[in-house]
Amino acid sequence: MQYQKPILGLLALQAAILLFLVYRVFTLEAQLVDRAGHSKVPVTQLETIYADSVNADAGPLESGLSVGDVRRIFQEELAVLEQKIDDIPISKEKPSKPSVIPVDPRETARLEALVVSQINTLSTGLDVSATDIANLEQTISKLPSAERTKALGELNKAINAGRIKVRF
Amino acid sequence: MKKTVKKLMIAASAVMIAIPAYAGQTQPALVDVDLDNMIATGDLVSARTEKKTDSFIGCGTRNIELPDSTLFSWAFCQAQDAEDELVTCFTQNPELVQTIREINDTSFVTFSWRVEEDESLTCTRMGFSTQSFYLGKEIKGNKVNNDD
Repeated sequence: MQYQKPILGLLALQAAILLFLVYRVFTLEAQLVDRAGHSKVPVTQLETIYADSVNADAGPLESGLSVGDVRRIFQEELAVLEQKIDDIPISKEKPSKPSVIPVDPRETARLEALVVSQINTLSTGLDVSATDIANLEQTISKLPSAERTKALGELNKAINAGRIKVRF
Repeated sequence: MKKTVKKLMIAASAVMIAIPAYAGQTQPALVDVDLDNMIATGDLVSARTEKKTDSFIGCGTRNIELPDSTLFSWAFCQAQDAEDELVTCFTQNPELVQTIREINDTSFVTFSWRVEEDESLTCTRMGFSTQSFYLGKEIKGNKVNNDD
């Protein structure tokens, strides 16, 4: 008998929760009915269109749209999509790796000047030492990717012009 | 009669001497740099042993470690023929750079290039072939021992 009061309290609490839940269910149902009423195309009508399209031959659908109308709509939408896809520029080049060297314009300019200086120093027409060419390669490697390619191009031109006599 | 016998003996000796020269096909490929068609060819042994010329041909790589531990790799091919036509091309294409590992002392080498807008030459094709007929005649073969 000593637990009678707490048990009654719990029962009252349970009853209150139950009542609240019942109230929420009714509220949600009312909201659903309200939203269905505002929908432009009732669910049942969409189902009808779908069923019509699945079973369609050539005649008009129960929804009022003919099979031809549906096809025309699809074709128009597809044409628009295809045009959009065609307008997307497609690059055939592989995405280049981002330069791993942080680009510091002043440092890049300094290194480019150093490459030009080293190439000019080597452009004597005499045999170039392995150390000199290694130093030049090290300088080139410190450049960002685009400048590196440009520097290699300058070295290549100097070799093919006979200004730098190097046999790697 | 004596003269005829002598001639026959000399001819027979010549044939016997000539036989070893046909023991295996040789196909020396002297270095040729075709600047018009942008292609160079030649085998390393012929380039090295070709007399009275500065001919050479070959390819190589450079691999430099960057601060982030990745590699900056590029490759080159270069050749000069007996007419002193000279070419050097570079490439940074990683797949082409990798192919250079195929080369060895007795390879036949062929490469092509294109001229860039800045007039530098970029290697576009590298090929290597290692076959017995590129070995020099001077190389002593293994002695066949049939006594065992």
